[in-house]
Order: sequence, then structure tokens, then C-alpha cells
Amino acid sequence: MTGHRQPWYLDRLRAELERVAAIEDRRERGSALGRLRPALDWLRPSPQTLAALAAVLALVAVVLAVAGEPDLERPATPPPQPNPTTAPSVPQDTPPAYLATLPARKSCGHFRIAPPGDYPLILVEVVKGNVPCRVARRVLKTQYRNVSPKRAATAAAPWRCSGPESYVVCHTDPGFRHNLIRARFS
Amino acid sequence: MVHHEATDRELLLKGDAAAFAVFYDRHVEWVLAFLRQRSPDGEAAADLAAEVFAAALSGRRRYRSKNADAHAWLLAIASNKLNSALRSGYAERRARTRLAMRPVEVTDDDLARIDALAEVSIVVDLLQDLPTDQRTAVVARIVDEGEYADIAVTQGVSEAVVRQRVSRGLAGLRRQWEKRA
Repeated sequence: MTGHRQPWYLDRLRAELERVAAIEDRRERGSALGRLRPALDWLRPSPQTLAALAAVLALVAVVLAVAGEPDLERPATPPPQPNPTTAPSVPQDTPPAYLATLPARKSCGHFRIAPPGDYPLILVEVVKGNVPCRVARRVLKTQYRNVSPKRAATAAAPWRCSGPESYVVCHTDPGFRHNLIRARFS
Repeated sequence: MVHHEATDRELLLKGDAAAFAVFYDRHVEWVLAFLRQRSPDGEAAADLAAEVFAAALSGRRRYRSKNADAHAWLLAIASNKLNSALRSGYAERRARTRLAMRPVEVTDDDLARIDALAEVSIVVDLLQDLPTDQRTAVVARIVDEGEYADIAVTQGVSEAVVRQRVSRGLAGLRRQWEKRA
């Protein structure tokens, strides 16, 4: 549990709104043009700088084309489905990268899973399936509150979870079909 | 400094952080209660309230209504955000992203308080439906915790009449509450 905090949600929201309002104030009070001019001057490069920049970009493009071509295409095609009859269930430590880019079906909000300082807030999202936020929060919290991976897996069952602390994905079916939820540091 | 009796219009057009804080304090509870009554859970309502006030903060200098009270303006923003969330299944974060707002966490205590806020708001709505004499008597006795004798003097009726009005008012509230549930 998160424990009792004196300032409640509306007070914390007020503080955050005041903070951004003050930033907006400062931005609008200051001369926008005056502050923009040095930036524009800095951004106005000489022909030599432009040539050097173009050379660096070309080099990066070549390196990416040669070394990173398979990786770049991976998100566009679905990952190979594991065959449950022949393949033993190999624990998948890192969820496929494309899952991080899938749009969330719904957001279940930001939650603190440990006292401030230990962890940042985690953002819980439902990616596939009709999963209540209550369930998504409960399942994903098991991955942060159990030190041993075995206990975390037992607590999350029948969900299967994988991924580092900063990005956890849980699903109810092999092959990432049906229900899929994720949590990441915000 | 912002004077506490400044109208919503003055607070919004003033445009500074202190003025917006006064505006926020004035309206946040009813906005949150409104959103909670129409959202599936307290988390969604809290998320929507943050988005509504972020949108209000972004658009405060564009407040064009001649109306000094921004209740209708805020209600329109809240309704739009709510409808959008009900259609898509999640609260949009456009205004918060534009302002680079940090996420505000929702604890279990907060959820309980948000639910309570919505219930109080329902009772206030129900009170408005009571006949004036019963409403006045219920408020004087239950909310202000006045003595029957004092209320009778204030209202210029006998103590028995005040007791009867309070009793009928509470019975009416109970009936409406059950009908609503």
C-alpha cells in the first residue's frame, strides 16, 4: 500500500498546475523574440558546419543500413509464434520491442509501488483485451513487490510476465494474444 | 495579489499562477464529483480532472464569454473530455502533454476520498429537489447542527413544525437516494 499522505490528490494536482502555470507565466512575460534570437543565431550554421553535418548524417545512414536492417524491419512484421507442442517454454526475459510501441487500449494511471526515491511512478496500461484496471494493477504490482522471480511468477499466475523493472509486460496466452498489459517507469 | 472575490472571468484573464490557483480551488471539487459520477472508477475521474484543469489552464486567456462565472465553460470542457474518454476508453493527455505536466499519482486513500466527494455531491443535488421549507430545516438541523428551538425562532414557526419538516425532508432524501440507487 502507498500509505497515508497529508496532501491528497487535489492538493498535489493543484501544486503541479501552479508549477506549470508559473512556467507559462515566465515564458509569456519574457520577451519571446529576445530569447529566440540567440537560439536562431546559434542554429544558423556556416557552410562548413553544414558540410560536416551532412557527412556525419551520411555515415550514420550507411552504418544503420548495413548493420541495423533486420532490426529496423522487425516492428513491421509480427514476431514468430512459439509452437506450444514442440518448443519447451523458454522464459522470455525481454518482451519484444514492438510491444512498447503499440498504442494502449486504455491507461490505468500512474502508481507508486514503493516509497518515494526507491522507484519512479509506474504507468500501467492495457494493450489488448478487456482487462479491468484493478486487475492490471494487481498483476503488475506482483512483479515489483516480490524479490524472487519464482514468487513473482506464482503471484501473477495465470498471467506470465517478462521484462526489466523499467518495462514489464504480462499476458495470459503464449504468443502475446488476447490479454496483454504493460507497466513502465514514467 | 488576487482578491478572493474576483470573478472567474477576472481570474482567468489575469492569467497568473496565483489567480489560476484561486480558480482551481473554487471549482475543482464539483468538477471531480461530476466526473466521478459519470466515470467507471475514481482513477479515471482523477485522470480526467487533471486533463480538464490542464485544458482550462492552457485556454484561460482565450476565455471570451461575457459571463463572469465560468461554471458553464468548465462544464463544457469537462463534458468534452468525458465524452472523448468514454468513446476511446481512456482519458486523453493532450493538454497535460502540451504543458509538460508531471503525472500525479492516485493512492487508495485518494480513491476513497474521490468516491466520498461524489456521494456528497449527490446528496447536495438531492437537497435541491426538496421543498424550500424542508430543505432549510434539514440544512439548519443536520448540516449546521442547530438546536430545534433556535431554528424555530429563526424560521418563525413552532419547534414541532421544525421537527416535522426535518423528518419529512430526511424521509424525502432517503426515498430519492433509494430511487437513484
